[in-house]
Amino acid sequence: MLFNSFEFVGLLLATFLLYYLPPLRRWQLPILLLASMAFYASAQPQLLWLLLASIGLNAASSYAVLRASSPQAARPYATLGVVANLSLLAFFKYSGLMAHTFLPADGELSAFLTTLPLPLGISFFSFQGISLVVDVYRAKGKAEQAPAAPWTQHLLHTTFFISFFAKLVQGPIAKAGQFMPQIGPKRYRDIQWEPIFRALVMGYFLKMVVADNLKDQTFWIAYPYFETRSTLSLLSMLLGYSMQIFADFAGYSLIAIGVGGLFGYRLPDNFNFPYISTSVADFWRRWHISLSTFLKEYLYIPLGGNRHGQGRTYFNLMMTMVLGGIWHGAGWSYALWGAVHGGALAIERFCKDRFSLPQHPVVSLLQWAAVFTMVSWAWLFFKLPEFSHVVGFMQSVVRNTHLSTWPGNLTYIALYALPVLVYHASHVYRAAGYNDRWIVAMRPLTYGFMLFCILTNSGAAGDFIYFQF
Amino acid sequence: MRLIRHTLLVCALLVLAYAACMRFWQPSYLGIAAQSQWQVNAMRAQGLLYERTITPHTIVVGSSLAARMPTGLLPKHTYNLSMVGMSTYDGLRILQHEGLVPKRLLIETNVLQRPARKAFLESTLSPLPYQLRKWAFVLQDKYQPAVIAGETLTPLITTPLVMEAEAWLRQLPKPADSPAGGKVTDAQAKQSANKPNEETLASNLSELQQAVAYFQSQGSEVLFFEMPVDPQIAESVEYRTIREHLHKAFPTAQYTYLPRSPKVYTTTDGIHLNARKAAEFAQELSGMLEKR
Repeated sequence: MLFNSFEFVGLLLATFLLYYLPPLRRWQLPILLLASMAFYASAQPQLLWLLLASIGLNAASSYAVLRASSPQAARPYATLGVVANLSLLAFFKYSGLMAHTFLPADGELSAFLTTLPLPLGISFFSFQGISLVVDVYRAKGKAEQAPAAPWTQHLLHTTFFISFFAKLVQGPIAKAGQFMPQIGPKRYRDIQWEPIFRALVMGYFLKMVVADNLKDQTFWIAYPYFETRSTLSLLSMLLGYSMQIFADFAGYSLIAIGVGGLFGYRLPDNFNFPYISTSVADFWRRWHISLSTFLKEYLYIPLGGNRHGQGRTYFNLMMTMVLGGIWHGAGWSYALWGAVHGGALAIERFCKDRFSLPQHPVVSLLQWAAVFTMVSWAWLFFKLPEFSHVVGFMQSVVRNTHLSTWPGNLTYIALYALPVLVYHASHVYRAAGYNDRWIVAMRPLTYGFMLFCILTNSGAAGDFIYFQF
Repeated sequence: MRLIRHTLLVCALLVLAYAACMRFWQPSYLGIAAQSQWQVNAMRAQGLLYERTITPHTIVVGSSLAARMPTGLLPKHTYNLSMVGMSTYDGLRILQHEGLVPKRLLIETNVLQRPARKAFLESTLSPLPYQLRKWAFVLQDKYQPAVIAGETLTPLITTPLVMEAEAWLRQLPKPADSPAGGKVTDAQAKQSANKPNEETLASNLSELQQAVAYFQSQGSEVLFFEMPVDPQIAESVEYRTIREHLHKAFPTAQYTYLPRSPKVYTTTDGIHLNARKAAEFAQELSGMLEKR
């Protein structure tokens, strides 16, 4: 069930009505749980058991950690919980890749592993499970820890934390420490309508108008079709894809935040104008923030972070990004994408330690251009499943200078890229300290126009790019 | 709540103003210009759903192969409901949903292994979007503001810029090997060397049997035809398997198959005719239909 489908709107409205009905107030959590299960089952009813199994093991291991007498006694349970989450993720998501890479193609085991279904949202709910177990374990060491809740309540809260439909299949990845304390009765009058409305309108606009239309323009970044496209066309499609992937994922995240807000839950921000970044490190503080924060807290820092010398820091950066890359999808191209970013982060850090650039707008502009170019080229690893295709695309860019371009393709890419550019530019304007009162005053016009575009200019509904992860 | 009220008001005013503008302006490219091939699909479906005054005498259902045939070169009162990236089944489902029964139904048989596309049919036929587009015509794809903007901006800005950029790029040394069509055709040939999923094909053909039985029972004349493709692909495992299953489901003695064209048509990628050849085949097909 896509966020941009009528079924979802129906589910949302029905759940919302029941949720705030005064006689049903004490059933708020079960109502959301039921809606979440219906949401998941609508896509993969046969794999609902897996979600429930994941919830069960996370609830059990985190409860064991909570009840343990000391951090030392809790450690085995926490380890078990993390290993179980990773095993589940590895088996369902990566065994096909492993079989494809290491086993003979005609073997029985290989055939079995490559046909395993990819459970929807497994990357997200496994990471949230890890966050739960680790956060509970970390809190164990702190002096003033609240007494463990009864098992049934813990199970209910864990089920809700992992399966809440607003963030179940595509994030933002909520951290247990931030989400669990919010669980409780909610009142209709506490709804923050304005920010929710803005998040929903902006989210649906980015997804349905920008991303869904751009996807038809960038379709030809696919083997072997890109070989027949001109240099100009290929470059503009690459720019278009860069805008599309942002609009698609940022749009989804905003909708998730809006939907969460309707039920009284604050989900973490996932994007902070990533395409204004002037360094790769800055980009990762702004892009998919919930994942980069997770990787930093649960992988990079435990690996040693930057505390063990330069060489180890570069290794940790590389390792974190490669694993972060492969988290996205079961394909070596995702690992390569991570390696490109890891390498860029390491080089950037190496340079930063040795040289300092002058603070000048032109220098910042050049830095921005370098980061945006690198990030956009790296998206090719997302779009094209094989490394040879990425190389082929680059060769086509160099080679197809003599082919003709359909100007309409460029016009539409520019038209749909424009809102993303304006979105980022308005942030730069405000961040520079200029008077933004007119921007606030224009909001009804801006949001009214976006709503008008959603109604009259939506593209054919397509899956969210991050759905496959 | 003030922002929400004002936003909704602005949106309503914009929709009304735009609808009024479209009602009186009616630019010449309306219904012809589209942002992408997929939008052409939507426009074809919506054209039949919302704009027909009478049921077309002949309707063609098929994939992107038949979609290339220009309607103007097909016999009079023919509607080409073939869809890019889709198949015969999408067109048939639309006809059945509308209860539209043409006198003659032409079914393209090249891409029978591909089932109907659920997402497209839902967005086209689900009650809410269907009714909304029916009553608020500006919600139809051909009226999208981006199409108007694209048609206005492209000749004014993009085309001159592209021409300049291309002139500059053409000064660069021309590569020795020519890319383009060859590899795409090879990829198509490679794909056609595999058998289609027989389970899916059987299930699709069973749907086709039901549809054909329905249209025949309503008085339609059903004719099967095959679009010309690269000769190597036409005799590939994939194509032969499809023909074999099709002939089992619809024996040649009981159903009418238009003869496959004896001519060799050049294609852009092994399966799609270029504009000129598609026009040529449309004329050949028209000739066959006139002789009947």
